Formats: sequence, C-alpha cells, structure tokens
Amino acid sequence: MTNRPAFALVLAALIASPAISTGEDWPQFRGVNGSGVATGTDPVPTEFSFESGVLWKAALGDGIGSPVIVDGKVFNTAFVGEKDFVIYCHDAATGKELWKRALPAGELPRITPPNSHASSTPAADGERIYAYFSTLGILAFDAVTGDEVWRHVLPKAAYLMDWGSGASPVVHDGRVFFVQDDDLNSFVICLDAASGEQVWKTPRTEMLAGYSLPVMCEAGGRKDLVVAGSGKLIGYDPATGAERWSCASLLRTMMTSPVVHGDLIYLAVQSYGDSTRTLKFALLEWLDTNQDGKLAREEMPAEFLERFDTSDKNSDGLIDETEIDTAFQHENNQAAGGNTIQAVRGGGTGDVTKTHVVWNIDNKSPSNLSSPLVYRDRLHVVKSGGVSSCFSATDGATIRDRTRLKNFGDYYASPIAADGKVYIAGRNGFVLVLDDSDELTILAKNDMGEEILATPAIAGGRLFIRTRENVFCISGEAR
Amino acid sequence: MTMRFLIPLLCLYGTILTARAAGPEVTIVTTANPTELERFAADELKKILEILFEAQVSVTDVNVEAPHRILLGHPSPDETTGFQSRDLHYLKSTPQGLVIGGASPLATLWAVYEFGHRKGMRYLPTGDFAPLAPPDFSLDGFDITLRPLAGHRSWRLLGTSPASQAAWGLSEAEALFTQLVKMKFNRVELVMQPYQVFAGTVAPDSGIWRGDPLDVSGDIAGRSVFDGKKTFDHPALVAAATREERGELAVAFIKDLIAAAKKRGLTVVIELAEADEKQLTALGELYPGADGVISKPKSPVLTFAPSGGSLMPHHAKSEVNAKEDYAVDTPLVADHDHQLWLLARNAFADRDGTGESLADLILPICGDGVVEPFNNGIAALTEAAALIAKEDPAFGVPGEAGFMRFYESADPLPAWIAKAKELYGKAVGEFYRANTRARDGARPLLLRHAKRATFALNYVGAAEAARHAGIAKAAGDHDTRIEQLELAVEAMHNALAIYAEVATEPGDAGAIALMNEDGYRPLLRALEE
Repeated sequence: MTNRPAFALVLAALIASPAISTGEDWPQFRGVNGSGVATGTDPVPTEFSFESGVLWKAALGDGIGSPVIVDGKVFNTAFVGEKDFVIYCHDAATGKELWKRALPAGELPRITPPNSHASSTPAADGERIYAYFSTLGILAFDAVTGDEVWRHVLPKAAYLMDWGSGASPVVHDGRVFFVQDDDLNSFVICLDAASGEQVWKTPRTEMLAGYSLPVMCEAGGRKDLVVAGSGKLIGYDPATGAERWSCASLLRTMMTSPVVHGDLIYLAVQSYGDSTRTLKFALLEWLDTNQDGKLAREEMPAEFLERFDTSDKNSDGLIDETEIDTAFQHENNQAAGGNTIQAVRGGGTGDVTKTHVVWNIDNKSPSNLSSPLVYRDRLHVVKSGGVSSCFSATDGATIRDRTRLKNFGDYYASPIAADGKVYIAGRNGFVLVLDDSDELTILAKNDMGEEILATPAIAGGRLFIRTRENVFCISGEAR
Repeated sequence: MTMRFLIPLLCLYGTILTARAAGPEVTIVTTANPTELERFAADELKKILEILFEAQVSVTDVNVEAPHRILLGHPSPDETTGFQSRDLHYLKSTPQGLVIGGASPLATLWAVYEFGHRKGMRYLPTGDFAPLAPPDFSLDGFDITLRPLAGHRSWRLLGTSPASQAAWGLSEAEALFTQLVKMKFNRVELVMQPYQVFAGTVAPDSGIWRGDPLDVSGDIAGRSVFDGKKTFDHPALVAAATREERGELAVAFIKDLIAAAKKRGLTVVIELAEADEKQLTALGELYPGADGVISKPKSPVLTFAPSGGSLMPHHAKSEVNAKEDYAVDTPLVADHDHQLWLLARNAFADRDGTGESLADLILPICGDGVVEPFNNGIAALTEAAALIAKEDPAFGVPGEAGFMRFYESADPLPAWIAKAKELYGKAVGEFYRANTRARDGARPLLLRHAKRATFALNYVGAAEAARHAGIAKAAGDHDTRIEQLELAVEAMHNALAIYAEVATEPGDAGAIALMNEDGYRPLLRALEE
C-alpha cells in the first residue's frame, strides 16, 4: 500500500527544489567533488580510437577545459575565431547540438602556450551551467535554453610568468565556489547559484598563482571547503568563508588538485626546484631581462607596478637582493619547490600541520600539472614522459614507482577511473587504459588522433574526450 | 598544415585600434588611370593608414584638395628625369601633400610599404608586425629616395626536401609573394630537379622528395602539426590517385604559382638543374607563363640554412650584407625571418647610405629591453651552429647517417656535445627572457626562436642518452640500456612536440615528419627489442 501523504511530500519536495545532478553525472572538473571517479557502474569501453567506438563527435574549436555531463547533456567551452568564448550544449546520447552561446571575449590577457583562452571547465547542477572566462568572470546559463541567467564580474587574474587562467568553478548546495589564485590578489569566492550575488569572498593573500580545484571534505561532523595553494592546504567554512584550519605542508606552486576519500584529503604535486627554490629564483631567471640580479621597474609587467613600488622599500627603482624575497611571495609563506604526495585528515581547527598530516612522502613521481587519482584504495599519479606510479592510499606505501607507460610526452590531463579501469590521456592524443591492479597492466593504448590536454569525463558508461579542437563520445553503443 | 601567416598583424591591429580615438581623414590621390598594381598599392596604403592611425581614408583618381593628401604614383618633377632604375622609389613631403611614388607601378607599391616601415610596420617573410606604440600621425618631413644596391633580389622557391618550401602549397606561396613584395624582392626562381614532377617528369622514381608521401600515422611526436592526417604530402598532390595524376597536378600547381607571383609584379624564372638546351626549351613550352628558363642560378645564392640539410636552428650572420644581386635559398623560412628582413632592408640605400640593424627590427615591435637578450640568443645559436658545422656537420641531418648512429656506437660522447648543449641552453634562457619582456609585443617572432632552441636542447639530450644506451648495450647492461633509451625517446618526443608548437610552415611539418622517421620511431623500435 502506498503511503500517499509521504509520497506527496516527496513529490512536492522534488517539484519545489532545484534540479540536482544524479549519480550518473559528471558535473564539474573530474566529476563529483573532483574525484576523477565515475559514480555509475556501467561498463566503459576499453578499446577505441578516433575511428572506432565513436558514438558521436563534435567540432568545438580551441580549448583545454573538460566536458561536464548532467541530465543527459554535455557542456563544453571553446575559444573560437580568436575572438569569442563559446559554450556548447550537446545531447549526450546523440551528439545533437542543443544550444550554443558565443560571447565576445574583449581584450585578451597574455597566456603561455599550450594554455588556451578556453581553459576552464564549467560546473553544472542540472538547472544551470556555470562557466568562467578570464575577461568576463563567472557566468550562469540556463541548462535547457542556454539563456544567460547572470554574470558576476571578477578582477582579472594577473600572472607574473604570463601563464594565464586555468581555474574552474564548482557548485555545491546552491552555491558556486571559485578560487582565483594569481600573483596579485588571490581569493576564494562564493556566489549564490540562482542569482550570482556574492555570498562571501575571502582573500588568500599568502598565495601565488595556482589552479587547484576547491573540494568538499566531510570530517569531524562538518563539511569544509578545502583549497590547496602555495605552501598551504586550507579548510574554509562553506557558509561564511571563514578559515577553519590550515596545513603548511604543500609546495610553492600548486597546479594540481586535491581529492577526497572518506575524511582524508590527498595531494600530489611537483613544484620545480628543491626546498630552497622560492619564487625569487623564477623571478630572476625570467623577469630579470638583463641578468644583473635585480628586478628593475621596467622589467615588471604593468599590472604589477604598484606591488613593485611597495616592495621597492628604498625607492631606487630596483628590487635587489634585500627586497626580492618578499616582493611577490608572502613573508609568512616562503614555500619552495620539491615533490610531495600526502594525505591530510580533514576536520581540524587552527594550524593542523603537526597533527593532521597522516602521511607525507617525498617521491619524484608526482606531476606539476596532472592531479592524483584515488581509486579503490590506490593512489595513482602520472607525469611527463608517461611515468606512472601507484601508492597505497592507506599509508603511502609504494605499490609501483615510476613505471613507464611507453607513451611519451607531456601529461596535462589527470587520470580518471571507472569500471575497474584507470584512464590516462597523454598530450600526444593517446588514451591509455590500465587495469586497476598492483601490477602495471596496460589494457589498451587508444589513438584519438589529436592533442589532448583536457581531462576526459565519464557518465553513463560513455567516455567523453575533449581534444584540442573536438569532443568525442566513446561508447559501447557505437557501431 | 595551414600556414599561419599574418596572424601577428591581426593580433596587434586590435591592440592599436583599441588604444586610440578616431583618426584623421586622409585622401589618397592616384594617377588618372592606375594600373592594377597601382590600385593594389592604394588599397595597401589605405590599410596601413587604418591600422596605424585609425584614419578615415578615401581613394580617388581626381586631384582634389584635402587637408591630408597623399599623391600616389605621381613622380616628383625633380626626380622624373633622374630615373635610372625602374626600382627607384621615394617618399617626399610637398606643399601639395605627401608624394609616394616609384619609377614603376611595382616600385610605387614598394614606396607604400616603405611608408609603413618608416611608421613602424615591420614586414617579414612570415607576416607583418605593427609597432607596439602607435606612431603620431604626420605626413610631413619625408624626403627619402631609395635606390637598389642589387638589381636582382630573388627568392628561390621549391627544393627537394619535405623540410623546405618543396612542401608548400599554393596558399602558402601566395602569402609569401605578398610578403616578398613588401620586402622589395623582385624575382622568384622556381628551382626544379630533373626527376621532380614539377619538371613534368612522370617516371617510376619521380616525385618531389625521396619517398613521398611520408607516413605520419600512429605514435609519432609533434603530431599536432599534421592536423590528424596519416600521411604528409605536398598539398597540391594529395588528391592524386596515380603517378600520372600526381604529375598533372604538379604541373598545374607550378602554373598557378607562376600566375600568383606575376600577379604581384614579380618576375618568374624557372631553373632546371644541369639541364641542356633541349630540356630547357621543353620546360619553357610547358610553362609559357615564366619569364625565363635557366640551368643554373644567375645570381649568387645566399643559403640560410646549415650545410648538408641539418634541421638544427641556425643563424648565418655573415650572409646578410650582400650588396650585389642575390638569390635567397632558405628551406625553413621562419628560422631566418629576422635575417631576411635585414637583408631586404639593406638592399636599398637612402641618400645617407646608412644601413639598418636587428635593433631596428626588434625595438619598434617588441619594446625596450628585448634587443639585448635577443642578440644574446642569436649569438649563442650562431656559436652552436658553427661548433656543429666544425665538429659534426651531419648532426641533425635525417638520413642514412642519421640519429641512430648515436645508439649504434659505444664510443664515448664527443666533448663538443656538452658545449652545444650549454649554448642551446643559453639561447633558450635568452630568448625566453626576450619573450617575457616583449609582453604585448611581437612574441610570435621571439617564441619561435625560444622553442627552436628548446627543440635543439632536447635533440642534443636525446643524442646523449642514445649514446649512453649504446655504451650500455655494448657492455651488456640491459637495465641501463633501457633506462637510457627511455630518456632518449622522451627527449626526442619533447624536442619534436616543442618544435610543433611553433611550426608555422609546411617545411616545419616536413622536418618533424623526417625526424620521426629518423629518430623517434627507430628509438621506439630499439626500446621494444
């Protein structure tokens, strides 16, 4: 017998509440909470190529942001015709273009190849899609119609080395979170997903440029918004933006993202140089044009002149040996380079550096760009050269250390997992499929024919691969 | 691949326009009955005025009064009788307006580009760069008469290697001709070999380069340059199904090439190496549009490339000051953009006879602080090229004595390798510092050199690792052999992937295809043994 009042209440709640993504979705960069692990149980193809196993393919234009999939719709971004940011919505099953919106980009910032002006991965909650573009800020579009719902302008990010933007928004419980760690005014911001109004904004004054994705960690009976940045992992109250805890166990440059497994937060990163290599080395290597060991005002990008003048304490137009350490790196956070793979327990309070680092290994296996994957209690990393390593997620014990995948070149995409397999996309356009086991077992090496920098996505047994110019949907449904 | 000509200009064009308010009204007055080239010159002048000054430009053949007037193609009375060369051209401010003219329609077009140059535009073989700082608008103060020091300023097109202009299609050649006119070249030499399909040869061993087309399918390095294609072939021939069709398409391509060059006012001469009179006559009949057929170059050939076909980055400083007829042979054009610019600029003398330097190229389009690291980078490249030419001229030359000789030998690494690595490393640092400093300036010009130097650094690293693997192989040390081979493959992959990032012409793609055949694929095979 149906419990009619209860059924009615549930129905009413479903109708009244905004659409929510399902377990079969891949709603943001690296899927649910940035884990890189598909939540569905459908089998995912092992062998495929740009010529076989392709359910559909769509031309997008230049981009390195990842596809996201919610409610049977695939969203992608691109930079088209050297002038427009474009957001696409395709039907996940057929590839039919449901809508697309082109937005004039305006005056573009400097970026360094192979970065793209369409580098950010959007986030979706079923009702809206949220996308970040460097010159426009964060924009929300109606997921069904593509109509722009709101736009929230942000300060333009500034990068001392002209890397360009690469951060992505996430959406949780009706709020959009975005971290803009640059070399000038780093911050984390929370927007109301329905209106785009700012809920809170917290400065991250100690941070240098980075691209780490914010993740949610439930631990100690509460939920924290966790952000990795220069030298520190920080837990924020997602309701207020107040800093709850910090862990000073990271390195100078954080381009990789943490992943959460239970109440543990896993990180793996390489930051160039060793424990002595603070920011000043890079400044003197690349910005000191005449190599006199000092930074002159004219050697500075215009957007950093105010900071330069503040740092030039004796006002002689030069930042010399006595001034350079703290000119662009915070005096309380002189993080340096190196390698680290670590697990930090969430849910702390205050400085948890000495209390919550569960394990931390100094191993040369992490990448500076590709984030770690935790899947079935194994932590996987892959780095430039096609070097793959695997560790126990429990204690960091080495399972496999720096094994060659025999697929060379750069690795910008992060590994993802589903169906007992690990998928690793190389920049050279090959997608390797590994059996999830202690031994390195390469099940397939699949040629997608084009450069891949974006992390692929998995939803409903379909694999979505965003190459530099196209998106491919790989599926067992393909004939 | 698609030639990426003119992108720099388009990028900077936007920057300049957004930085200025609406510009002056300028009237271009042409001759009463302008030729096609003179009409083109008026269009080009209009574009220059719009780009540099956001000018509102009108073009007329009626001699109207206007506050800012340019008389185009009108010979100055003082100069008319003095013309001794069809190539003379001038810019002269007069009470009637600025006179931009020349002794011929083509020379008038050159005068238009000279005006652009004097206002900061920089015209290179691979594209244009606008000045970083918008110039002030003024048509006053010009009194320039330019005469050529060299009568024949020739460009040698085609070749025999996929890593050269032999791989260029019509669209790339057309873009080049446009640039050559801006640089005041006046002749194109189409250089053919008797076995080539370009010469109308359809024989079992005919082709453009040995083994064409090249396989670029599967696991290759730098594959982004091939746009997903499985073979690298001449773009005009890809549609051919038979040898005969390849021959027909090749001849049609050359005819199109001749027409495109002549449309821009360039003289076209075909050179068939070591041909006898009968062959030359036949070739002349095959290509009646050509202005001549010869069997060897009439002008000294200036080669902008390492001898022997090496694909290492190169700079030949001593070759850029020729004051006599010359014919430029440059397989990889973008490597030598700056040198070719310098050559072209110094092929004409102003009344004061002063020449130009690389600083005159770099400063207006890159800004302060860039010339020094650029010159330092060039100096390091020059030293590296000289070192390799002396110690191992076959280094970087794909072919029978190619890359795998480093793996096949157990001899200790020669000492010069370390020095070459040091020099390429220095060049990388200097060019990247120049690139960083240029910011909103002509970064594509600088990044090309930075990435080519990085390519070279990795290529040398691959050779080093391959030799270490060879030594380990001879010693029976399996693990070290594998480890070093992996490092060699990785370095070679990185070298070609980095090169691909700045590949701008089909010859770059051809070079990457060759080095995959010569280095990357053999290394992979060795790793799998």
